[in-house]
Amino acid sequence: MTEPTVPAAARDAGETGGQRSGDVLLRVEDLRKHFPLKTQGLIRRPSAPVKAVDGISFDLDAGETLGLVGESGCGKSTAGRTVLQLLEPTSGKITYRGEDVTGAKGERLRGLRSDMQMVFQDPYGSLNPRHTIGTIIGAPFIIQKAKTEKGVRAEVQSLMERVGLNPEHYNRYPHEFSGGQRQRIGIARAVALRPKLIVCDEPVSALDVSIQAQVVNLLEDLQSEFNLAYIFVAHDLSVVRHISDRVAVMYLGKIMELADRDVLYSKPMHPYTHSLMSAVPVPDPKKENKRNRILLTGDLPSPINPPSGCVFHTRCPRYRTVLSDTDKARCTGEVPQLEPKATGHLAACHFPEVRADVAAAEDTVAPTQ
Amino acid sequence: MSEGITVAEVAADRPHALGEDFLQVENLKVHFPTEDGLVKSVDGLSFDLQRGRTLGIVGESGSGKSVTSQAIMGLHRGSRAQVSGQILLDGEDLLQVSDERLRKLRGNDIAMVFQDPLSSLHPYYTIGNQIVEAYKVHHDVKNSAARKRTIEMLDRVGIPNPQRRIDQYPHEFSGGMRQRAMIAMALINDPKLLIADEPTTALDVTVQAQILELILDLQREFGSAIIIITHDLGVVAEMADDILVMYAGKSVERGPVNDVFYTPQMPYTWGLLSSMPRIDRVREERLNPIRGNPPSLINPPSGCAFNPRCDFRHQVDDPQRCVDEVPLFDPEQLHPVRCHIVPARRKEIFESTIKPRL
Amino acid sequence: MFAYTIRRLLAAFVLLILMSIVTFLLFNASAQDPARLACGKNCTVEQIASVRHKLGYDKPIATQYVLLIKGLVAGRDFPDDAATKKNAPQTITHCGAPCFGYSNFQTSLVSTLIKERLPVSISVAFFAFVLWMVFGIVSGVIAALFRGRWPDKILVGLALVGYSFPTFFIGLVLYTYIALQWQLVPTPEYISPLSDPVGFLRGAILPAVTLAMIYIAGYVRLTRAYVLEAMGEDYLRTARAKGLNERTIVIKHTLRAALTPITTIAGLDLGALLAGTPITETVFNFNGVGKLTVQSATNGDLPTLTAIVLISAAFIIVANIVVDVLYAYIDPRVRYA
Repeated sequence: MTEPTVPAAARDAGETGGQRSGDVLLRVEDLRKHFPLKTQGLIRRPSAPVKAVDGISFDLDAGETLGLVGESGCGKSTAGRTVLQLLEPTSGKITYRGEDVTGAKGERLRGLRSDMQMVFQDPYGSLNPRHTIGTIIGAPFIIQKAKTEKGVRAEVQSLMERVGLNPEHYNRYPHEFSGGQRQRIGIARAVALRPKLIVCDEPVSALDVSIQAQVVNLLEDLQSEFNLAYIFVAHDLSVVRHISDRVAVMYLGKIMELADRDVLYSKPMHPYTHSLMSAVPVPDPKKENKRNRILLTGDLPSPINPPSGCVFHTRCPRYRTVLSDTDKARCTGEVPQLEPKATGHLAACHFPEVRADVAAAEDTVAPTQ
Repeated sequence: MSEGITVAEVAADRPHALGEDFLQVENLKVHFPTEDGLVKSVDGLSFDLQRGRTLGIVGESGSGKSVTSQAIMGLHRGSRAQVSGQILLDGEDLLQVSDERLRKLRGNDIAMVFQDPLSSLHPYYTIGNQIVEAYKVHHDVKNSAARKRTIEMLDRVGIPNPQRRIDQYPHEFSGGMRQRAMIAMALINDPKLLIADEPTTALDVTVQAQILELILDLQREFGSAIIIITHDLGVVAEMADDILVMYAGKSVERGPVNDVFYTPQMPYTWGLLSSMPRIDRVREERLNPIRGNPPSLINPPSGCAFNPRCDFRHQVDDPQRCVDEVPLFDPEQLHPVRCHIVPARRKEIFESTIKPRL
Repeated sequence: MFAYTIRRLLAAFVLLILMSIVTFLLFNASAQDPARLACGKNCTVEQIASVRHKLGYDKPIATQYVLLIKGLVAGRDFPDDAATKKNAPQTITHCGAPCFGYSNFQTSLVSTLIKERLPVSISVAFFAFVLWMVFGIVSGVIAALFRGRWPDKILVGLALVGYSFPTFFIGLVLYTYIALQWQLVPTPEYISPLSDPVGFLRGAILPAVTLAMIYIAGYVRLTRAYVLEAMGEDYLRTARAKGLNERTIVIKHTLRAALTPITTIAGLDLGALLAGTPITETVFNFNGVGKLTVQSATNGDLPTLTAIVLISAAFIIVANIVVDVLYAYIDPRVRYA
């Protein structure tokens, strides 16, 4: 079961979840990241690893945003980091602009880094407190020995202005800035070398609502200006809905469902997506009172010993209430592959069911079939 | 009665004036002296709450919402904080009662659920130990009786296998289970007032749904009044009967949940609602953020604290008033708003400009 | 937990063997002839040769190390040679296990020396340990509870002063004034605590206080810092919100959390002191391992020094294990990790 989950032919036929422009920037195939553990006995030997990311595949077009959502422990952050090879992939293949870059090292990896950048969640922890923000934002130029027209300082100041920081604050230190401004610093650093791809790992979760919107808008503006592709890792389904073109839902290291944003939110198919969406409280009291919440029971299983077959079956409401015993045997025995269930709509479920009611999305633009 | 209005009509108009208010907060101020100056975390807050009802306090970080809850619990006692005003619980001023009396009220009449259940539970004691302790401090019972009651309570909040789980440590619980345990601890003495300070912020959304459901369920059963403090408007929409919006230590808008969501009146509330991305609908264009940054609490802007970020100052006949004069907030009204724009004009702006954006 | 302890013990054993090799090599790397050192300055060539033969320094280095280990495990004889054993058994010195060697300076087996001296060092160290734990922790807790007010300022100030004076100075001042000038305590001398506990306490009070002084200063500041840290924890807010009284909050909730890390540090500090305190023992003329260390170092008494280094290392390694295992019992998070 380790082959790519979507046959190449199907992918070319636009079966990779959503309407695509066809200019594939990044292709991830069956990517895995396992963290080894050791047993606790007298002699410690490697035991079953933590399967943080366990065989995910997706494509990303230039200028596109792929949202990666899921709850803590689903492997979405690890996935983002492994794609950038900040973590070494355990197996799988990463193709960037048609070139296999899996396991790139040294000079080649450094070259890739100027094309692929990252914005982190914690704007406090990810900036060195002893460096001025001029140094922080200018570091990519120095590290990559990039040539700048008017010198690094001028370049950094124009970047600062671009992301909405006062260029006169060049010599200030991170602690002198608010959370939102620090996130702008992180973004300026990430776009400094005009990358093609930025992995945003929960970039707005630490920010207040009013500041969140500023940063989301900034990310969108930079995307259209520089034709950036984003992998937007977040747990907030509302933000992901706003910013993404396509969305992948992860659970226990696997992608459960992958589709166009509008399709996914209006017609989710996977029972996990149903629960996830129905759980988000809607800031609309009347809608909120009418909503049908699909509560999950139990805790997240351990990624060391994930359940057999479909990893979600232990908590799946459909498995528990609707399915017959023969169907159940399929859920426990056979791993569902992420495959097209409708045009441009991939789901890893043996018994998917379209539900339009869960996201309270009755005023959505009708999805194109 | 000469105007022909019945008492019932008045009461229906002003539900918070009905019967006795169970909790009344009057002109509460909590100031912290620091090296940089006086931080006015809460600066003249008034609200009230009746039994069985839920008040949602909404605001961003630094708005003073958590400091308010800690002031009600008396957790600022013995610190450098300067607390003034009145907090009447059943007519008894919590700011004036003796330490001993306050101690008896805490955990018994008023209980609290905190944001981060892992750091809020003592890592070295079992869950059972900590809940038994909460029960025994207010009830003169034997250990075995307290333990029995704890197991019942753990079972009631949906912790499977309570007989076994009671002897486990907090780190052996998942995040959701820890918060259930915290709720069990808070409700074990059947408090009249439960304060939940960002009770689900540290939790995953599916777990949040379970916890919110549990709190609502328990409220129906025990009839407690609840104050739920959150930055998440979705959570208040689900939980609250009334909403209080705070900005820079002051209340800026308050009203029944439907009024605040469907006819908000304060530009800050407009900003909050229109800057949020929504899960339930597509926003094709850009979000409308509130410009600028949250205010300093040491040197808050003069006049209306929101004025430097407000897009509607020109709607006030004399915009200078926003800078010179703190707008009044009449807690006696059903839907009071702290804003200089005249009410009719505000309604107009909301209908014409804000509503289409939401 | 059991497996963990066993694993730690095995690792400690390996570490000790490595330590013994390194120590052995270091001392043999000395430019001077160990036999000459052992014999003294005025030895004739014949005498040196005889000492070399007696102590086994004429054997290859590897053999010498094997003999050292054999001595530790099973004992050995000096000189270890069949001819002498047969011809003149009365000149053989038998050294029973654990044999650390023979000190020509003290004309005694090293193990005998250590056996005499170790109880002195250990008992004084424990005495000091009790003093510094009690006074250091109590003062630290008081300082933390009165943070920023006068008890805090005085205690922290005193700690700073205590921290600033070197041990020999404190020792000499105490000796001169308390014992000699004012005669508040009898002249310090070592009396075995097993034969006369009160006598021991009276005789060892000054060295113990001297030793404890610098630790008290450190522990006041450490305890204060940990208590303050614990007081800022969310779970203390929870404890208050439950309506617990201050006593329970301080004793059950704060101290449990604050004192746990101190256990670790205290265990390691004690472990380091068990193998003697050269300065204190010299100042008060206590015949402990510390004083023996000084003597051996000045005389170049290699067998004794090797023994002391190995024993100190063993104490520290064992203290580390004890602390780790103990920690697992105190902190449930470690127990299950």
